[in-house]
Amino acid sequence: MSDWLTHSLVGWIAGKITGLEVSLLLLGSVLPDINKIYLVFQWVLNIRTDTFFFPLHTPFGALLLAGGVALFFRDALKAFLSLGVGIVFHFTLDVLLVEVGGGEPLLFPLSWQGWQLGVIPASDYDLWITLYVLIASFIVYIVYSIFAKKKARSS
Amino acid sequence: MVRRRLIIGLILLILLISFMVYSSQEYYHNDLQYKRYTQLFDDPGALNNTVLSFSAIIQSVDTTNQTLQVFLKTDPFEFPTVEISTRNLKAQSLKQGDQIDVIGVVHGKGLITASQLWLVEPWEPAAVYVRSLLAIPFIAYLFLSTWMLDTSTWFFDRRKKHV
Repeated sequence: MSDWLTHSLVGWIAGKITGLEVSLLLLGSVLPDINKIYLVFQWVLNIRTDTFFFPLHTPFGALLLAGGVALFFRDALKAFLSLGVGIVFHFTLDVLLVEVGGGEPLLFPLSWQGWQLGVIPASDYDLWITLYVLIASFIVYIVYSIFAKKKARSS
Repeated sequence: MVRRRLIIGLILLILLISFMVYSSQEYYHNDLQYKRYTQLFDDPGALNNTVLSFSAIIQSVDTTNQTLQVFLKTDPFEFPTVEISTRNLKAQSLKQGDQIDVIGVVHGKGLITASQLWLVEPWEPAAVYVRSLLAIPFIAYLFLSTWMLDTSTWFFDRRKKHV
């Protein structure tokens, strides 16, 4: 599991590059991790709910949730698109990791098979991936600011 | 319009809850990783020469034979101990009580030759949660500076400066 900071920064970069609604893409990029609510039940009430909330951390479950969230926006389809792209980036990042627990169940509920590419070793994703993404965000921010200034001058 | 949205929302909610109930009932019957862990002790022959990955806690370290006795860490279940051969790996610094992530090949009952092994420092899971908490104000700021909830219609409206 990558942390929310990494996921949200990747979502922010994706939002700036694609031109989609950044705030919603950012929300979509952390939405699948809402399944971590099971930790609250575990710590506070000592009740195991991880298997109940498990579908939220699957593409299909997260998209259903995104569909529900999108209904609170006037242009629900546009909101769903931004949230959906964020969700795609979330799972793209998670699939890159070495996951000893068996990988991401990308096809749930059709299949319980876990998928992973194992590109980022477990020893690297603790801090380095966050730093790389932080640097990438900074570069995107600088480039975006330069383009925005040029655009403002020309208009 | 609102009625249509309510119906769609209700359908999505019913679907999602159905999957959640299905998962809570069927997870341990279907999760392939959990099945493999069980198979490792019940029918180890079937897993011979297959790659298995897992988290484990070290029970003892045998530096002479370069092996580790570990038990698989898979909440809420406890599995018997397995022996991990760490030949060709730098595992000298490992000690009893350490948590490790392992990718290895199964050879018979309870013996695994590790091909990759990582020490999970006790602070690492906590560090992930701390970094996650840092993201909350970032996400909240970007979202709330762009949208505001109109409680009369229950729609998020774009704030004026973003129009």
